Amino acid sequence: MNNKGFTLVELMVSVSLISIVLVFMFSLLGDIKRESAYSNDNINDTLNRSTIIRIIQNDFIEKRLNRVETCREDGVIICYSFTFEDGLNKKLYVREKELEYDNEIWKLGDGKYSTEGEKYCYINNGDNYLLKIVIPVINHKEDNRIHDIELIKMGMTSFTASGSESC
Amino acid sequence: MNRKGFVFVETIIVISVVMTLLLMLYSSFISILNQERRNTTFDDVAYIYRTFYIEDFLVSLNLEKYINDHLETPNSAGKMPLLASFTCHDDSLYNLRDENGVLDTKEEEKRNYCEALIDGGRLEIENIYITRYDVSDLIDCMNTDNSVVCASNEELRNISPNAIGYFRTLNGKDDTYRLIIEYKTKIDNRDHFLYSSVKIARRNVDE
Repeated sequence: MNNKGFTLVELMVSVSLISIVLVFMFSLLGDIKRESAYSNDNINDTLNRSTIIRIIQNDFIEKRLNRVETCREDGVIICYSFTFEDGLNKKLYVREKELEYDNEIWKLGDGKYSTEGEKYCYINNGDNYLLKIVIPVINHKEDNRIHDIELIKMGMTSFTASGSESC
Repeated sequence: MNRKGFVFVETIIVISVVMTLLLMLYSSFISILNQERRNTTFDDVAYIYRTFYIEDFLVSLNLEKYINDHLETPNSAGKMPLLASFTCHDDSLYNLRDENGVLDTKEEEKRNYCEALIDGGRLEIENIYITRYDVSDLIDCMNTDNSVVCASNEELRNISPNAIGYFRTLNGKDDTYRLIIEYKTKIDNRDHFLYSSVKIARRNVDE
């Protein structure tokens, strides 16, 4: 009868093999947990971001944007004034932790709005126009998601915008 | 009483089985995680609006002829193309040439605008694809590992695996066409590819 059982080496080999796989498994589970936490934290911000973009873009399309100007206000880091075809004027105020458009305020849950990386691009090529405004959100989570607010208007509908034609 | 316990070979077999199961679990979870990460780059609201405006501009060009030439005419292998890569340099997109073949000023402006936007990188466009709205034939030409299998469809050769991953998420049946745009942008100083698509609207001649 063989009564020897495991030797120390055999045990170490088997334990180390399983440990290697378990290390990968735990790192993977950590990634999944982190990804899930990012998703939960960002749900509200993502929803707000979608709503803000949709409301402003719909105004651009339905009310027909006529003029864009930058503006200045106390405590506001980014300010845009949009005038529409019917003469209606709506302002977009961006503060560090909130964004206000047409007297409605959206609070930013994670990160903060910043002027660093802000893009304002306007070109007028004959009858063809392009306006692009990017309001960056600084978020230190490496979650690959898009947090910035981007507004765009292009096409052959005439509108004017202040500032240079730089893109 | 049997007091032998496991022998080394038995232990190795058990460990191998456990490791295989763990590896299978790992690979299935990692593919779910990667898929989830990749899906965050599909159809972002800002990019849908961007695509919508681009579609609006492209429809103002002679897009119907372009589609006819590139999607409704058999390719060199005699197959109907499943996809057309859009480029502003195609002369058939612009109308109104005079008797000397010179483009009308307005059309020339459109061409310059198209080149500035699409080729000039102002909208971070990497590729523009036009397909039939129903992409099931296109998806049939692609493997689950995002490689292309239809050798006779040469237009599919240069499509990135990320783009194929996006095509696979599209569905819907319609006899119209679909505009798919691949954007390349930097997030945290790393290149990311983002995708968005819209249906190509038919524009009336009176508009």
